[in-house]
Amino acid sequence: MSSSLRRRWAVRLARCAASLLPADRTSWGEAMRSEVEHIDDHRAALRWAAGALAAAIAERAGALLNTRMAGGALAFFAFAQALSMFLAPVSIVAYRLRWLRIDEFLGGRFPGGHYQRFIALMNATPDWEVALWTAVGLLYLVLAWRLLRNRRGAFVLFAGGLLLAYAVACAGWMDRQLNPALAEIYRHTFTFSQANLRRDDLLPAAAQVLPLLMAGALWWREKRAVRPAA
Amino acid sequence: MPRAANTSPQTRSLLGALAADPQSWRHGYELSKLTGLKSGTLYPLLMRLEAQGMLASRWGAPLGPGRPPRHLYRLTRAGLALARERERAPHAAGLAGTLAEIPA
Repeated sequence: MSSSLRRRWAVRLARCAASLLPADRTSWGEAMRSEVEHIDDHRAALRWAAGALAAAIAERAGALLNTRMAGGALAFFAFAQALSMFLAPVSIVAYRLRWLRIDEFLGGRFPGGHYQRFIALMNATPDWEVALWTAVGLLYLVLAWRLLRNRRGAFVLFAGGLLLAYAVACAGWMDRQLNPALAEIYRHTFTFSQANLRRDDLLPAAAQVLPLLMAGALWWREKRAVRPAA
Repeated sequence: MPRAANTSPQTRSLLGALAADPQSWRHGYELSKLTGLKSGTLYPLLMRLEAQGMLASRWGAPLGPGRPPRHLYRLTRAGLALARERERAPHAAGLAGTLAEIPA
């Protein structure tokens, strides 16, 4: 890249950084732009401008995530996560208490389409697993409440819930390895005669990726919140 | 648990550079050379310190045609006190800050 091209790109990137910064940081955008003009080495100016652009993007993202609307969206997602965690425990408890209307309603939300498909699995699922999924759901409910109240510590709560969910999933997997009858019930329940892109690929992928994105957003939101000096 | 504010090595390095000559106004590129921090790290730190009232900023005089005025920085009285505190006991300050942030 020629020197003049580097200089032009440095100016462009600095201008872009200035335009990306939140409105209350306008003077910082001007500071970034003017600093580039004072760096005589074109390569150093380009590096400086690229760093300034990265800083501006981070500031903008942090400002967006700290709005009430973003807090509400994150709370909504946490609430949806809580509901998805409660789905299996509520179905199992309702079935064991013979409140079958609840199972009929919820059965349509499961990948099989009807609760009768899950009867064997609901009978075989150990109580500790039901209790732990309920605990994860409760953690997410608390998280949603804290997000709505704009309280801090959301990331720690969510990360704790996520780790607990992974731990329960791992424990369930180990339980199936040790118990061939349970493994057979599980395999039979989740084996379908026809492939379905949404059920077999999209939903499982979303269930893995969305919580990680949520964790990233919460971490960034707390990192970028202006805190009083220690 | 969130970490305590202003205890990262980068922040301490920046506070140290600014506190070395607290009366001088310094520009961003100079601070970058003094601390080894890249602009992507330096600007968020400067912005945060200013928002906390630890840093003062002003525009310098124009240096000639095609050279816009530069943004200059120095520590406020509170910032200088913080820098001195971090210099004296960086780890203790970090621990105290972290403990103070644990919700009751």
